[in-house]
Parts: sequence; structure tokens; C-alpha cells
Amino acid sequence: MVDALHGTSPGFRRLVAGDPRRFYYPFMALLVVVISILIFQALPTGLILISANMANLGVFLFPFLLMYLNSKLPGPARMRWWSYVVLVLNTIFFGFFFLNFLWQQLTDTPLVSF
Amino acid sequence: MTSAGDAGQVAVETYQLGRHRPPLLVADLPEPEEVFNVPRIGAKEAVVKVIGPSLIALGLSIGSGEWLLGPLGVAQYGFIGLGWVILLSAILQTFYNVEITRYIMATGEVPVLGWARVPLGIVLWMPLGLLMVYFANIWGGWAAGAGEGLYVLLTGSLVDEPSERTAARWLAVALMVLVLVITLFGQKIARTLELVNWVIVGFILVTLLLVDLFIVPASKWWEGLRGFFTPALPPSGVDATLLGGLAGYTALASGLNWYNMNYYRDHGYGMGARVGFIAGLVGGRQEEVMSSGVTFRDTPENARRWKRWFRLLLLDQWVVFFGGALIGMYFTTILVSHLASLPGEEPPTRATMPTYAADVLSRHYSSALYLWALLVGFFILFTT
Repeated sequence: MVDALHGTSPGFRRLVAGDPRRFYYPFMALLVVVISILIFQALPTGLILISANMANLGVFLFPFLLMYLNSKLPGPARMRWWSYVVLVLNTIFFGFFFLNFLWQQLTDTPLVSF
Repeated sequence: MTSAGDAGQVAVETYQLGRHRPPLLVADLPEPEEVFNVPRIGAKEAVVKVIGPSLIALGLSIGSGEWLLGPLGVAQYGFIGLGWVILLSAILQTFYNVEITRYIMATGEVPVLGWARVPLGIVLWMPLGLLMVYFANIWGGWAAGAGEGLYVLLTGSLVDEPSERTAARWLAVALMVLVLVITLFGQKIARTLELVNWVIVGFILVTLLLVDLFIVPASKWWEGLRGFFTPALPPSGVDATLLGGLAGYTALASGLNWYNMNYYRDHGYGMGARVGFIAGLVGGRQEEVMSSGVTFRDTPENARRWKRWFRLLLLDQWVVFFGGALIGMYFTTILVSHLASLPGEEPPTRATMPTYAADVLSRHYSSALYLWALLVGFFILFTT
């Protein structure tokens, strides 16, 4: 978050007068408050299961953003064709698990029964 | 590439990558020796100076997947099928990490700023990325689990009653405040975390290995190994949420791994090393952290250097991240699988998992092991 704001907002950079920590620490304190409320809502393992499945959601987006970015790099740094294949495999593999989890949350039965 | 300059300023080359954000500055790639301040990167230098960042990722990846989700799944459903999911997850994530770090090494920019460069990125992909990371991690499972472990360590009693659960949760809050305080004193945050992780991860892996060697029968070691390397579908009836959680939290955090890769910039990999001090050259203003990245000229010399950096990255990721993650998952799953098979023991449940190993060890083995299991569980969740 700090990198994003510092990198894209001149207003933010002025606000923290060049020292991102002036945002970083208060922001972390706010997170501690929010998380403290949430941990009272469910068992630890249940909370972790939600987080783990939400991580899988990321593969529908970020591998494709990477493909765009890495195709624009200077020549020696660019991806070869197999890297594109591997990124798509990531989307298929983790994407399947996310959809399976989501389906179970919505309908109480998994999308695919093994 | 283009050159730009104001009157009285040094003319600088730039390279426009994507949209919405300023062009990257251009410089040459450093040699790894320059960055790590050694005359030559040999085996010893590679271990001590170079592979540190992966231990941050590893310190996080020996986490809830390995201590909670993997053992929970394997104790309930067995190794076949689940082991294969774990292996595939670790392999695919390592490839993914390499591609994320490719961007960081080539531009010195962290991925979140990269997302802003993709068309629509500044209004869509970057904010969405941040939202997804926070939404995924805000649930506080690690703090809650560490709180439970600490509660049992301090009181000797498992968290069964609602009042005990409340007390454990308040301990979790205290732990988060402690983490905040620790980071306040970390001079260079990444370096502090690295040093702490060297010690803790080392302790966890070494002691886990020793306990497994003494307690887990050979047949279970073999069963685990077969499960990891036997292609098979997940077992029938397996819970979809647990399966997804296992895949997602093996190694690190699947689709969201990119939010942990900033350390490669902080550690000076590739153009990450150029991002700090070049800021002073352009516009004359000294900035600690540049708001935009730096890339390299396409020359034979830079191509050679890039290959060297990429090989170091592959070493770092495949040996430390991938190898460590598999080992971490292996040691924990064979231990808990064995404990669940002991006479009179039930498999763990979501409720009992955080302190399951300690509980069973206390009944069948010594109280020293009970204490050890609580400590390991606590460290694993606390370092996350």
C-alpha cells in the first residue's frame, strides 16, 4: 500500500514529506484494530481457510498483468514462450480450486466431487 | 528509449513501459558482486548474501498451510491425491514467483506499481490488487492461531471453553501490537525480518526433522513420499474449502505471492540495486525511495549480467523456496498423520488443529515435546 501510494501520488509524497513511515505505521495500527475485530468472528483455522481460498482468486488477474508487463521489458529480460504457458497453468490450477470453493460456499456442495 | 533533459540538468535516457506512469530511467545492470559487495559470487557468497530474500518468503511459507491445513487434510483424508496437489501447487508457484521477480529485477519497481502500468491499471488493476491482498489477509487467522498457541503455553490448558477462546483472542491482539512495535525499531525492515527468520526457520526445520526422526516410523515417511510424487486425484469426499486452502497456502499464497516479492527490490536484485541512489541525479532532489523504476539498455554486456542475475534468482527460488516449502509440508504432515494414527486418537478437526500436535504428543510422549510443539506452532504462526 505504501509503495503504491508513494509511487503514484505526489500528494501522498508531500504528505509524508518523503518519509513513507509516517503513513506506514499509523496504517499498520489501523489494520491491527480491524483484524482484532475480525478474529473474534470465527475459529483460527476457519479464518485461515477463507484467506487461503481468497489467495487463489488472484490467479484470474495477476498472471495476465505479468504477461503484459514482462512482454514490454528490454529484450534480454523478456519471457520465453514456456513462461506464458506456465502462467496460464497457474490460472487453471488455482482458479479451479477457487471456483470449487466458491461453489461450495454458495450451494453447500462442491463444483467437482472427487 | 528517448533522452530528455532540462536546461542545466543532466540529459537522461528513458524507457516507457506501459501506460499511466512515468517512463523508467535507464542505466546498466550492476554485476552481482557489486551489489553484494564481494569480489566473487561463489557457493558460500551465494548462500550467505544472495538467498536471504527467499527466506522471508519461506518464513511466511512455513506457515498456516504447513502447520494447519496440510496436516488437517492429510490426517483426515490421507496422502494420496492431496500430496500431489501440494507438489503441483509448489511447482507452479515457484514458476509464478520467478516471473514476478523478473519484473522487479528488470525495472527495480515493485509489482503493485507494475499493475498501474497496464492499460486501466492506475484506476483498476492497482487498486483491485491492493483490495484483494487486504481482503485475503484481513481475517487474522495467523494472529488468532498464534494467540491460541500462546494461551496454551502460558496456562497449560487447551482452548476448549468460550472464555478460553476469548482470552486467546486477546492474546492475539497483544501479539499484533508486539509486531507493530518490533517493526518500529527495524532500521531496514527487510533486513531485520531476514535475520529473525534465519533463526526461527532454522529452528523450526531442524527440530521438526529431529522429532520426526525419533517419532515417526519409516513406513509413514515412505507413505508421505509416495503421496507427494504419485499423480492422483484428490480423495473422494474431500472438502472443497480445505482442498482450495491447501492448494492456496502450500508454499506461500498462490495468486497473491507478488505482494511478498518486494524484498527482491530491497535486497538489490538486478535493477533493484539502482533504484535507491540514482534518485539523487535527476532533478537534484534526494529521495530515499524512488517513485519510479530504472531499467537497463539492451547491450551484450547487460544481457550477460541479466543471465547471471536470473540464474541467481532460479537458485534462490527453486532451492530455498520450493525445496524448503516441500520439506516443511512433508515434515509436518508425516508427524500429524502419525499422531492421528496412535491408539485412542481421533484425527484433528478445524477446532483442534492449532494445538493438536502438542496435545497428542503430551499424551503419548514427553511433556518436553508438548512444549516444543506449542513453541513451533506459535513461531510458525507468529512469523507469518
